[in-house]
Amino acid sequence: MNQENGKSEKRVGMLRAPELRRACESGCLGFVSTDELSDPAHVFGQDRAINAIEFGADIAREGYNLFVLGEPGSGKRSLVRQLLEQRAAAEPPPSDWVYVYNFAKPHQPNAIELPTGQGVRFRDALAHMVEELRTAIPAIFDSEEYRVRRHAIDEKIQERQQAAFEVLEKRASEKSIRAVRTPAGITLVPLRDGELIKPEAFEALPEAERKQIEADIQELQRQMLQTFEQMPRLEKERRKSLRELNHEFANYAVREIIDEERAAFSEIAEVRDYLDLVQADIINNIQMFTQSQEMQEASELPGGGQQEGGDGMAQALLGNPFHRYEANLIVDNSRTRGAPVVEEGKPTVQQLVGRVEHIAQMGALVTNFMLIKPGALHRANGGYLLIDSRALLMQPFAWETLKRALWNRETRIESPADMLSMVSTISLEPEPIPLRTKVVLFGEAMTYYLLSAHDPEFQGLFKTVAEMETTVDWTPESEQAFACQLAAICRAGSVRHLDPSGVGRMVEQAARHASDAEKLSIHIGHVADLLREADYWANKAGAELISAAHVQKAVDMREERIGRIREKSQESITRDIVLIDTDGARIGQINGLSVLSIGDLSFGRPTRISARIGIGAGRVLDIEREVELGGPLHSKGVLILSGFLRERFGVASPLALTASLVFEQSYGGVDGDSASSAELYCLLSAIAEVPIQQSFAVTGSVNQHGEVQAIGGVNEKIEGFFDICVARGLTGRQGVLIPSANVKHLMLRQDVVDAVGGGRFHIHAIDTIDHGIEVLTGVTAGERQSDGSYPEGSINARVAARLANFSRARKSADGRASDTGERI
Amino acid sequence: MSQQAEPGPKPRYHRLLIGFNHHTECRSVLGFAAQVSQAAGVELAGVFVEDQDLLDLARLPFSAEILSSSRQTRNLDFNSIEGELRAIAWQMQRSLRILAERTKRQYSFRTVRGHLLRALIAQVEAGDLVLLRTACVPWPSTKPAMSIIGDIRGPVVLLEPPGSGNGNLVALAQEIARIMKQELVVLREYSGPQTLRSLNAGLIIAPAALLSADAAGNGVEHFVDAAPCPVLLVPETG
Repeated sequence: MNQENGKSEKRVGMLRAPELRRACESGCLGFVSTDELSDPAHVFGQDRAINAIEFGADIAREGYNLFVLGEPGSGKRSLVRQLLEQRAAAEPPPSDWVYVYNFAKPHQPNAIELPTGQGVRFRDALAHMVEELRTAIPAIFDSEEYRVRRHAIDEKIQERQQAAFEVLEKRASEKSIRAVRTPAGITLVPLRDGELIKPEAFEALPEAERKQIEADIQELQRQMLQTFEQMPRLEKERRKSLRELNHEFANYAVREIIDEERAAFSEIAEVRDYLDLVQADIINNIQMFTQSQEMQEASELPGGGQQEGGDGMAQALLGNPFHRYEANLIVDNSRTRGAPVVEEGKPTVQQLVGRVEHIAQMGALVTNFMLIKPGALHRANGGYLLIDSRALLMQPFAWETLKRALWNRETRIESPADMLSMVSTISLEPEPIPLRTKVVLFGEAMTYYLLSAHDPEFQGLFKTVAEMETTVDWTPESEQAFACQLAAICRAGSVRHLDPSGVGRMVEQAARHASDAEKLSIHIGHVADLLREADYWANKAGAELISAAHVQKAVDMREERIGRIREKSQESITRDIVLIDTDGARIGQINGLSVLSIGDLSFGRPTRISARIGIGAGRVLDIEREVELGGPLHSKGVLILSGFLRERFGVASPLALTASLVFEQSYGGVDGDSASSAELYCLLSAIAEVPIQQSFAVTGSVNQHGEVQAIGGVNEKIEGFFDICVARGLTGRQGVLIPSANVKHLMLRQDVVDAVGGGRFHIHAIDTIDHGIEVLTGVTAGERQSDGSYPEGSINARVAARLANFSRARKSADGRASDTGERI
Repeated sequence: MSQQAEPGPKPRYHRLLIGFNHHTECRSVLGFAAQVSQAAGVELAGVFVEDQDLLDLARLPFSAEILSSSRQTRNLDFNSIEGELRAIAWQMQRSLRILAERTKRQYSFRTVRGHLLRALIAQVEAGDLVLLRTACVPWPSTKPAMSIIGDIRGPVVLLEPPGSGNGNLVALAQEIARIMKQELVVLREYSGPQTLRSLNAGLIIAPAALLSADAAGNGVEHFVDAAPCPVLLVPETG
């Protein structure tokens, strides 16, 4: 790799073995074991991402939440955690939050913010207060003083009631009439000698007397009704007096106890207000406290008795009416050190914003504010919340819920079932809690770009982007940093350390993973996996340190584990089921190279490409496209061929050529333009009628000027053809043509390098089609001369001559058709 | 040679007779009656008395009642009254049965027609105790019915004529007082209801002879009307 002034010099021609694989000079690393190396401050190579994360965490402005994008396993999660935890440790822990009963609207529990660590104290204080009240209030109402005063109220009302009836009785008695109870009320009966007049005796009375009795009774009935109408008023007076008495006694008992708590939380206005409401409610529902112990216990059982006079909600819920005076501590930071850093692995709506649980009671689902459960946004309030974007987007309503929380800057407990009105049951609408959380989303680049493109709110909410780097330049400094990173992984994962050769081999494998001899992959997931597998083989070998051999073993064994499909593919070629020639020469036939990626497996394999030509209208027919097996990039490559032919051979006269190109024995889709140079070679061979050496395979795309351009997967493609050749026996004539721009990407297997070093296999770096066709055919391509012609016998001259023949034949045919009225 | 202790008088009571009529307050005596029957070890015997006066009244052409629930007036109809009384009797019987099962006492129930106390006294047989409570206040009370049970507090008062030496009656009174967790007061000189009120009696136990009831039970009726609490009448004291 010759680098000058930061620009690579293009390497053309047959490559030497040292150019095929860059080695790490492990002897220069300067340590015996990675155990000597200190951990890096952060994952190396991620300075840009680190700066972005620190910026995003630091800026306290609306919408500056973070989106950290990078491939799975790139170490973004651990990097963010490391940075945020360091930062959070220096920040103050956030407030505690409790939910309490809303006495005015029981279905909308109130949230109270308390200073850090005060939540537990408040909750316990309320529980203690209720316990005290349950003892103190019955004692007060069982006192002699209360009994006497209550009795006095009853007596007073009864005396007035009695007095009213005595007046009636006296009037009745004067008229020999008496009141008698009936099953449903009261009636008046006429008497004679103190006894009821029997119906027969009544009938025997003179009519005037009968009428008088009847009139007297009717008059008394009227008076009785008037007296009765006073009764509800008397009863109302009694209840009012009793209520006032209860209020007086309750107030005395309750105020004293609640004043203690009021004093304990005097600094918090919300608590003071809440305690005022508690006091008022206890006084209004004092009968809950005055019940006998047996009734209280019964009421605390599931489905237990309900209280009189309470509001229906609390009664219908859990049976224990005293729950209403408790506090549901949903955020307790009493043991939190610094700001919280919470990672939510299952970001459902309920896991994010909390939920209201229900219990089944008598066949119905009921709840109360004590069943409110916090979500990740509650736990992370005042700190940082980390969520995987893919997991978030896969949960129904979760993304919308999170956005709404961030926009409104509050956490509102919502249930998907409620949103869809799927469940009809008693539920709550807890008061939202102000949100002061920095949300960090992780995701792949595609997720970020899709959200940016399709969600207009996304950019406004996630204004900070941190993108994880995938590679770093391979330099002596990065080798050292890589070694330190390996040391850190060893320590964190209880993996044995590496010797310099092991580090060197890991560095080389990182370059191979980057598919670039000038870059190192810093994909932490892959590095750590390989290291763990190398540790396994080192352990098997009883080695103290991981060496290059163990890393190589890990690489080889992984290849073997996942290599079944590759072997089957190669076997189909070596058994001549898929026809690939690796020797001889054929006109209009060439070995192209493709890469198959299935899961972790990625391997190259040759494919026979053939071209057939004839007289036509200057069209190159892509059979793959015609049968809809070719992708757009492949079709583009084929169309470029037409452009090349027109530019080079169609200037003087139109091309009268029809050519068809096909990937033989290809039954799946074909895409990409990396075979376009091979197709052009094949086409030129067919037109010029010059055979192509089948001992070569070709990769590279081509432009309309005939320049060969870089492609991907160059290492896999070379190794794929090499393996076929090895299986059939290396002849010393076999090789691969690659774009010269891909030379810098070569990190080939050692056996390939060795074969090239031994002259048994060849790799040619090609920069133009002319260069390539000469290698493939052994015939000079021929440069265009000043008169536009090509040297005699050259490929280009043969192509030009053949096309000129086609053109003439076409004209002749067109003339005949015109004479006879036919069209071609 | 040891002297054998004289055996105590054996209880001779078999039933506790409880009278009901259509007054709802009558039901409040049920719980109390169960306690007494347990204390006395006797069967519960309910007697529902369909008030003859009420039935006669219903046959008068102009009779009407004022409904206590709605304060509305409606005409009294004999058949309706009779049906309502039967319904109340059925409820009483059911309540008594449940109570007897709960307290593991035997029970019986019968319906008669007449006047409460007289009809009840007419049912008395040898070995019966009679729990009396007239509850004849004509006016609907402002007190809830349940509170009447709660009012049965205060000592058990035994009216015992001097020199009667009725060991069975004393033993019964002691047992009842023990179970009811009340003091037993033995009153040898009864000078009228005022005495009982001053004692704040919770239950009065009285031998029938002491109250000089006539054949129709009128003396008893007078006593019970004046009594401030339920009366356990012991017709035959043996």
